[in-house]
Amino acid sequence: MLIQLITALLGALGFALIFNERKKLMPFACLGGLLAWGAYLGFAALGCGVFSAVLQASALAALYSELLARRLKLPSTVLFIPSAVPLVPGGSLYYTMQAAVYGDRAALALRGSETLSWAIAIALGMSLVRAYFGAESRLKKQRASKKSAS
Amino acid sequence: MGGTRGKKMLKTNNDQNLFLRLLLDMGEMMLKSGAEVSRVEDSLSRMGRAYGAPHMDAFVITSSIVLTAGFGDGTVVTQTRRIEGSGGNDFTMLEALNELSRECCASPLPLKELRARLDEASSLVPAAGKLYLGSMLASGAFAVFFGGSLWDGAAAAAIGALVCLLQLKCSRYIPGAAIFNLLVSFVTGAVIGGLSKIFPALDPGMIMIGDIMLVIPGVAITIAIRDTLVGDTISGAMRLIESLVKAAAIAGGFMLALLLTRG
Repeated sequence: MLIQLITALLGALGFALIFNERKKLMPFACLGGLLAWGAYLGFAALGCGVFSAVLQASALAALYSELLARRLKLPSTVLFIPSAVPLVPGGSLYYTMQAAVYGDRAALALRGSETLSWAIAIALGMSLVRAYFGAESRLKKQRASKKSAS
Repeated sequence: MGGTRGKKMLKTNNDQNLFLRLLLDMGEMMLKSGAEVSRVEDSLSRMGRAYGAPHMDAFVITSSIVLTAGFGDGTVVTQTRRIEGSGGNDFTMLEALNELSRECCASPLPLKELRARLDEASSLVPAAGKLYLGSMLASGAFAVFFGGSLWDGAAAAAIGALVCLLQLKCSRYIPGAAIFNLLVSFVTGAVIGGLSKIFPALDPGMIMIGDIMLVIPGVAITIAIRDTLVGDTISGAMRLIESLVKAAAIAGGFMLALLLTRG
């Protein structure tokens, strides 16, 4: 488990490099990757199914990036994407492929749907948090324009 | 408001045309550095309003931008831009563009300066060394992450450098992302298969998983689903299909390599 956390952090760092993250933000990207995978392991240990554990981990990573991005005045994507990288189902995709190579249809259907539901869980978790922050900033703007009008 | 200040910026019709071209350049750069379509639409509209066009209409999808600006003096200007290739991620550039848009909305820069700042942002490409290092680190780390040994990680990192080399040097000669990905995954798969024949202690599966993480459009699929959920359906659908085709091509390449090296 410790190995997974360390490699999740290093993996997030690797992608932060590939995506040309600024040096100053690298530690935040690493921390995000660690947080996302730590959250997944935590929710899984609490007995959540894979879908709900991934969804919650992704939501937590999005919350982390939104709050930090607001603080540092950045687009939140810059923090969210490297953080969410450890959640990307690379292993699952490989096993899907392997099932296809060996012509194992049952495994193919199982692994394939698993890969797809991982991707949907990441997107859903992130979108929920985004929706909340989007609505909040719109409300604020509305209030501000009402104030200036009166 | 920015509108009254902005009017002085664009005196002639020529200026207005030039301004729209700059906005399209900016939008294209944003898309190519990883901004979501909704953010690009939002930024372009704000910029337009700051420069004295109260009626802004920005329609952005991953492959094109249509921009109409209705200026305060009554003129209406429309320009469109075809966006070639699918977007990558370049967060340094994205941040620079975000900062530039924020500045311009607070107080519009003269067009010449805006041009200079856009050129400056587009020169922020990452050093090749950074990309190699990142690819090696990511593929090595993920090979171990998914259950490989440290040796598998080292092998994945070495092959990660090969993947990065192919991406940097060969992608421009091969038409279409799908075919390119098929070739990359076939070459890497074959190299991994050969390597594990020479060193039987290596687990080719784990090495492949590490290197798959570099090419698999996991982030793109996530963004596609998100775009669809927030109502940018065309962009979401385009990106989703593109990613699925890419993923299938990657799977196909590795499958061919597996079949070749299995027997």
